[in-house]
Amino acid sequence: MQPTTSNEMAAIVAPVISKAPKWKQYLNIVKELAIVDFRRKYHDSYLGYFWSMLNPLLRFGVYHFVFSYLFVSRLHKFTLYLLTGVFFWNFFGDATSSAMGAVQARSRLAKKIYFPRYLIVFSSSLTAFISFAINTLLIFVIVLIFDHVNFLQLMALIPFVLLALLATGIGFILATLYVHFKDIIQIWGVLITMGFWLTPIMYDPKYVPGPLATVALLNPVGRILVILRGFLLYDNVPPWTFTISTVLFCVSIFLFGWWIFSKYEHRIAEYL
Amino acid sequence: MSTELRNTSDMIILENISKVFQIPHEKTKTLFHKLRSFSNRGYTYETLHALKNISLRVNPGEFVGFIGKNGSGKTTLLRVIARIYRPSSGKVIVNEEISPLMELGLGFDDNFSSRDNIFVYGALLGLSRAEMSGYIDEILSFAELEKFADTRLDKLSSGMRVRLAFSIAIRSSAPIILVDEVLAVGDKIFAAKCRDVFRRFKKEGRTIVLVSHSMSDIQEYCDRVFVLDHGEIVGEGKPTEMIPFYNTKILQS
Repeated sequence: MQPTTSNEMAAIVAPVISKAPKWKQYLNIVKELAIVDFRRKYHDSYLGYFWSMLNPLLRFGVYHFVFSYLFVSRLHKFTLYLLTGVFFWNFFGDATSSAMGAVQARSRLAKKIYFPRYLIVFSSSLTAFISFAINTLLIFVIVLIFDHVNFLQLMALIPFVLLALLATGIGFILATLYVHFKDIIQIWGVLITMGFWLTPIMYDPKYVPGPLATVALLNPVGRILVILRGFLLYDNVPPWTFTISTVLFCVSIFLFGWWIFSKYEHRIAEYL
Repeated sequence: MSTELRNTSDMIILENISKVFQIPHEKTKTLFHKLRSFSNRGYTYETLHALKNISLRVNPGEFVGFIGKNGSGKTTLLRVIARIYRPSSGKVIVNEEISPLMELGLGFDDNFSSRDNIFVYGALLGLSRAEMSGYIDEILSFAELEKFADTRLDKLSSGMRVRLAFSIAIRSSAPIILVDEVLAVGDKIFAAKCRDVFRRFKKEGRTIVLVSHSMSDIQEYCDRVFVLDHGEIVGEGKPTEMIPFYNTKILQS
């Protein structure tokens, strides 16, 4: 070998060395994957992003029209009641469904290099969470301007975080199942549509027939909405047993989902 | 002999590694099919023993090669070392960071540009956007893709993509490098550049595991060669002994 060539090569391929701790590297992976996901979702355009914001808003508009003019709702602060319900349910559906899609999309990468596979689900949750956080901020601003201001409203951050934990946990469980059962995506799509009606989004469990009220209050998203609206809209602190049991449930689902997904994470590279 | 001196602690240790795949006969994998096949007992699968009871050690700074026919388990073994596959039984110990360089690209995302893919892969190698952006131009120029930094990847040829993959992966400072059939890609000029990089890696004392069908590469680089056949190690030794053994005993059978 001519020494000149070797020196040139050495200059060109100097290795890049990172001294960042592992957790920081993992956060960085989540961030980079989420950036790519976010841009794919919104087709790399600001217009795409606004269109996606418009989707829950338009749905809200339709329901609002129906329940203000056709079947008049007796609910106090119905508009805000509906808005919170639609936005929270929208995030739940979005985050849980995209976990399965993300695992499929990243399986090619997973066949080439090892990284903790749970980062895939964290990043798809983060992508859905970004729009959710913006939408929630919007609701807060609307409530503070047009409704009322109370320090208790800060507690509304609890149900906000709970929903993120619950959605990520269920996303983990669905993604684990998806590796073996591809039709879980279709099945889950139907369940999300059904769940919309089994969740107190446009009705109050107090005013519906017994069995539906029971389901609506056993449903974790329903419970999260009850807590949220209590703090944000009605200055009404839910019974602490109700809140604590919901917190415990959401945290358990999150941890269980993470655990079961990690237990079978190698199957993403082996079976997909 | 020099490898004996450097043998302070092993880089890679495999103990009794086996890997079994169950490949279902049915084409689709859905809950619906699973339920139906349970009911008429039609769920059958092929059991493939990809690796059988493999034990080996790789010393620091050693350049190790694996040769074998297609389907002999070379790629599976490399993926087990890289933690991409989990062995069905046995123990894998890898004492340092690994940079894997697997066949045909890095699992890039076709919908995005070279630049975007460089950032994603950089993150997987442990590098932040800030750390990586200083190297973007060098990576693109090594890959001879300066003009295509912002072109969607699906517009690039397969050769270009492999060049990009190679250029990113060789940036890694990982002490262990796994290479699966990548020297065979690209034109003569690029292949020469790749070989320069491998010589440099070897000089730096990195531990390299190479899977290749190119006996001249195995002969030139490897300190030790393993011959794989049907998931088992059937030979181990110097390239000068193993290549004739492989050519006469394994390829002919």
